[in-house]
Amino acid sequence: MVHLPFLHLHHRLYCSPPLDHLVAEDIATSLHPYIYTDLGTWPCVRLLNATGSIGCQFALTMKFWLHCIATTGTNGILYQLNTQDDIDNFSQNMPTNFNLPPTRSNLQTLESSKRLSGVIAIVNSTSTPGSPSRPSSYSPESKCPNCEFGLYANDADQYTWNPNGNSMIYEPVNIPIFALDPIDTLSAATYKQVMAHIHESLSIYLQDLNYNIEQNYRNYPLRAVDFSLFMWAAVDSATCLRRGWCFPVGGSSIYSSPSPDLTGNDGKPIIIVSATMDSRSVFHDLTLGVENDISGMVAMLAVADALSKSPTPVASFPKHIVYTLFNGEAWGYSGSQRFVNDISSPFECKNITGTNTCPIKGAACTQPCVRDTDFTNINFDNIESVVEFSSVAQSNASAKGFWAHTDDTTTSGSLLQLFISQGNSTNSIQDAASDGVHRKLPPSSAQSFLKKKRSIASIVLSDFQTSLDGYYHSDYDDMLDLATASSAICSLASSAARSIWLSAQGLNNGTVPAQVTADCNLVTSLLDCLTQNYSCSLIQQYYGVNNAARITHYSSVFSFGGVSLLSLFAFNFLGDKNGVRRMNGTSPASCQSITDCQAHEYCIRGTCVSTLTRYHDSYGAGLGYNYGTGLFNVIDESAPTWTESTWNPPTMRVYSVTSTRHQVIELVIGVLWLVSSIIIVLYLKRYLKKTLKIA
Amino acid sequence: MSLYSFFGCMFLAYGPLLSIFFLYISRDAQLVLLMVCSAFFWLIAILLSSVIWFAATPARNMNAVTILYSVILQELFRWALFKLLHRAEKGLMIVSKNPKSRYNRSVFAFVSGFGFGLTSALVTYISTLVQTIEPGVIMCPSCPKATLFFISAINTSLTSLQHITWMMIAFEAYLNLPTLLGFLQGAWVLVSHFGVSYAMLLNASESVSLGCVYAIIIQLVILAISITLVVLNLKKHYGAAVISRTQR
Repeated sequence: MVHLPFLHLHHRLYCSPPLDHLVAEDIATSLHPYIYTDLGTWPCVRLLNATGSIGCQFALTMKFWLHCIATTGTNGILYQLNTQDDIDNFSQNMPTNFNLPPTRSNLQTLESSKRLSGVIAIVNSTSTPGSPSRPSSYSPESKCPNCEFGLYANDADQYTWNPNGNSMIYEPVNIPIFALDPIDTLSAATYKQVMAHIHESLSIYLQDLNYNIEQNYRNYPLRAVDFSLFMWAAVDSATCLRRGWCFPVGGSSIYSSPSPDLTGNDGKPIIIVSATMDSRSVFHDLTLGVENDISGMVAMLAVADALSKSPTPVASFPKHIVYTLFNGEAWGYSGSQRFVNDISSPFECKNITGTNTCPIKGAACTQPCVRDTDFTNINFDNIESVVEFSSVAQSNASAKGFWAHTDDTTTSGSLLQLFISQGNSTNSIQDAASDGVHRKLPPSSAQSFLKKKRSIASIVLSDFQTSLDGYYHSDYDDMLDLATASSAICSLASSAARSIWLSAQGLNNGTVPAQVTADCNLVTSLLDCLTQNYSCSLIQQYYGVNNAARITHYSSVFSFGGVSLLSLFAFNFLGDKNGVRRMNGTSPASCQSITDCQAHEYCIRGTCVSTLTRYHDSYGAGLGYNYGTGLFNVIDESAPTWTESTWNPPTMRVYSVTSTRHQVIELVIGVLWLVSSIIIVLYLKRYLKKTLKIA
Repeated sequence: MSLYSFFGCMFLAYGPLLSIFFLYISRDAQLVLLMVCSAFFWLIAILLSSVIWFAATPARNMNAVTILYSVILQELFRWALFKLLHRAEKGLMIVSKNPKSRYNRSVFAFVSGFGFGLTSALVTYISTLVQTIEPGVIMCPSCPKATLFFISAINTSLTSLQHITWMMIAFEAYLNLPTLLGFLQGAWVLVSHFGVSYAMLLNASESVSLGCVYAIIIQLVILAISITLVVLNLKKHYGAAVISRTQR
């Protein structure tokens, strides 16, 4: 069984329907469904940046075979690899099993044997009985994630935040890797079809695999697999963007403020309360990121909810609060860097003359192509402090409590002290540098703000002090202890809400009204909704959603005006918490859709709401949009330029194969039969001609 | 599977048909036309069978029933074809290569049978043959060591030969009706057609071990009997001529 990671399938139905209900028509028209079992799966995709590509690289051939056997060369026979010895055996002679996390060396050993043509990675769900145990830590990220794009990129001695990282995620791999993970009905059906419990033993085998083991990999017919996945993009981002074969990685960030009248010159300082919306892992469709970054996002949303309950409206405070949820952060801080760039540079709208290449309908400006220009009201120079929630689920923290990371103790000192003072006894907030080592900021969006202006006070709250979560940006970051996580996040959100409540009034201490407390039930619901049940009742309050259980937290690709499920929820939630309901007499103005409301209002939870909650584009800062050609291009190679290749719907199918010898025998028999037919016909003709004078 | 299998199965299934067509029928345009006409009759038979199959929803998965009515329909159309050819015999004789040849009648029966055999072989096997180009196989349920493609190819080949003999025997029988010999020969055609068709069910049987081998044996036995009948019929008609010619 292979634990591996690498891929991507959007939440679209690429999988063939299960073949449960074959009808007679199918039988009559095609044998195909009887020969091939199509499997829904998550493939590995190619990503590119300014200098090259990462992820799975496939040759131009469409078909790949799993684990080639040396004797036949072309038949993709299924082999099982469970141990390190198996890998060595596979590459040397007779293959068996592979049950190890994919490290560079494991893959290289397999690849160099020239006998491996693909890997099916069982990203075993923890809830699947009998799954092989996971490694205690596995991070395919680099040792210092996104550090080359961060605040300390030019520092000589950057702190290594992710010592477990093996950089697998940045490896170009020359073999296709597909994931099997029973996370929803469809994939569970696939999983079940392929896998079977063998008696009551703990091991799960691939059913087809088990058959091959019984056949000793020699007695044909054996079970084989082939993949089809074509990656259109090649070389690097600049090349594929020009050819139109890739799209920028990114999406929509959200910002929201309870101050509807926020303007650039009102002189009020701004407190940014921030979190990251997206995560990253090898298989993009399986990306969840409970620690990174759902926990931080949930904490931030809980703070917004707590502050919205303040008896004195926060909008009346001497400082503005702006909540930001950045998308595409895993890809070189795409969301925060673009947001900071956009609000810190003067906005000049030159509407396109000629062919309109701005795809947004009703755009506030067609060049730059933006939905609205409200972000220009946020004056970057007014930003006083940034409070960010990093990973805070405490999923594997031994000591309870949180750590506050700062860039510089003098600029952020008072903010730090405020937060420490508001921590509670069970989940205290401590200075991350309290052990005397100043590690500066861990990977965070705050770095993007500080990169532009170092004097902003900043604080990054996390459940780690010295190194990132063991499963950072890994497919294994999908486990959630709901009770522990929600109580920890709830407690932190309360402390943070109180601190921000005080800070927004310029106070260092004081009594915070009891209403400003995080709602622990809300935190629990948020965690549940965003990890495993997107169709939950909380989200149903905002809009109807069906059959969406676990959704990917990969940012996916950017498109003008495009909104992901995550962004959609964040927008509605923040708009609801920070918005003002229009009253029709004594009752709120009700609505069914946005068309029932006035201009600049939104229809949230059945009422017309006016709010300063907006989407903001997120894609690599090194990418730009060419309004002449309507294509993206690389404008700065030193900034993030991640793009995702376009690809054909992937297929993976299992079927039986016969040996080449068997096939040659069939050919020989066929040829002999044809030749004898010819001879007999010729002979008969001659005979008849001779005896009957006919023919 | 692969190109090996594709060509192997193709030659196996269509070898006799191809050699007969290119070495004999294609040399004579009239025979080609006759073949097409007969092929068309078989196609109508199978079209009607499919209409029944489509309409008879509850019986769709009952192969025994499907075989029953499709064999009967094929035999009806064989008879219709005979009627047509018999009526047009004079004309056919005139346009044939040797208008005065006494063997024409047998040649027409042979070619008509070929038309039936060719169409049935194409219709029943070509979609299966296409699958052999792709890598996956489906094993024959009764003979798990052979692929269904291969076993079907053998059956296709033998059945196409059966059709030729059946047509020759049937035409002979229809000419001899209502004599006992005519009835017997006609009955043989019907019975052996059913026999061959039902024997195919053995291929898919999982309970009968080596069922495909029995099916092939049954086919061969029936084919041998039919060929004997054909030869006997031919001898009966032309034996004297042959003898007289050889004596001369």
